[in-house]
Amino acid sequence: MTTPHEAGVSTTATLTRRLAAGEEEAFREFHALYFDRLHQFLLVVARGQEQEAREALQETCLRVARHAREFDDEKAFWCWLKAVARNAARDAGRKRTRYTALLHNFANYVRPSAPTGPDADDDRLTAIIDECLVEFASEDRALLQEKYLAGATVTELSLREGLTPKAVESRLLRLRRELRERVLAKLRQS
Amino acid sequence: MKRRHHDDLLKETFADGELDALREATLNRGLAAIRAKQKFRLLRNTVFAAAPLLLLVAALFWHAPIATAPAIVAPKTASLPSLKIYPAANVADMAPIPTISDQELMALYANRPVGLLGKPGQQKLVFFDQPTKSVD
Repeated sequence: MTTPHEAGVSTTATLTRRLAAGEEEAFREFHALYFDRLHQFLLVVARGQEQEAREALQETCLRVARHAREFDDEKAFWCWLKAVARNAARDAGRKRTRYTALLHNFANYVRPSAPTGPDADDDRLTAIIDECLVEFASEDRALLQEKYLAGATVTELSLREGLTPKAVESRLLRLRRELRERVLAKLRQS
Repeated sequence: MKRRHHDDLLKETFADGELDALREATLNRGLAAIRAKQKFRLLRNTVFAAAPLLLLVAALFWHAPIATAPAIVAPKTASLPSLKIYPAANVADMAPIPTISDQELMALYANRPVGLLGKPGQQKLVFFDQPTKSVD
């Protein structure tokens, strides 16, 4: 994940100071940098329930806009963002019916607990992606790894595979959809 | 580091039209919240800046002396030399009630022992030849 410092936009301290001061441009920067990361984090928190994750994400962004404060480093800021996101997810969960919540809590109680800790949810999705990639056929896994982990372009892949770029893109799209379903299923089971 | 390698894959795996719409909606709602926060701060700062001035004005009004005539202690009707009583219905048609000074008031009772007691503005006319029956 590209941090504000790495992106060269502004340091975390500067970004959060501007956010706390209520600068619109700072919120745009924050949103561009953290939207996807927060979405992925909330997918784990919501155990693969996409709708819940998206509701919580909406609330998280709103809370950041309203209650942002200054942080000296990116790690502290991300920890705060995770706390805000967790609270937003929990509050959204409270709104659902008591019966659903009861079933959910019971299921959480019965199933073996997932690893917990400050960074457990951060690393969970990455670990699940790795698990899912292993389950793919070797040629599919290789295509995904070359495209996304090695950074190969579609043109390069099409030359290597002897396919048209459009065919490669189509295959990548199918693989991403499959990967998504597998990841969400694993999150629901976790 | 490992996470960064997966970042593009994660992004594209979960990207869809609904997420794009959510991206735009959260950005717009966040910006609206920022604008509301800015307005609130402006209002609060204005109130704080104006508060000392308002307090000063209020304090000036509070302590300003109120010019009032001393309260006249009306003697009993029987002991008044000549007091004309107007019926209530004619009060509106009356000319403004004349105001007299302390000396003029004392002069009305020159042949009786009288005195004005109390602070200016709250004085009472007291007749010393009667048991304490002063009237406000």
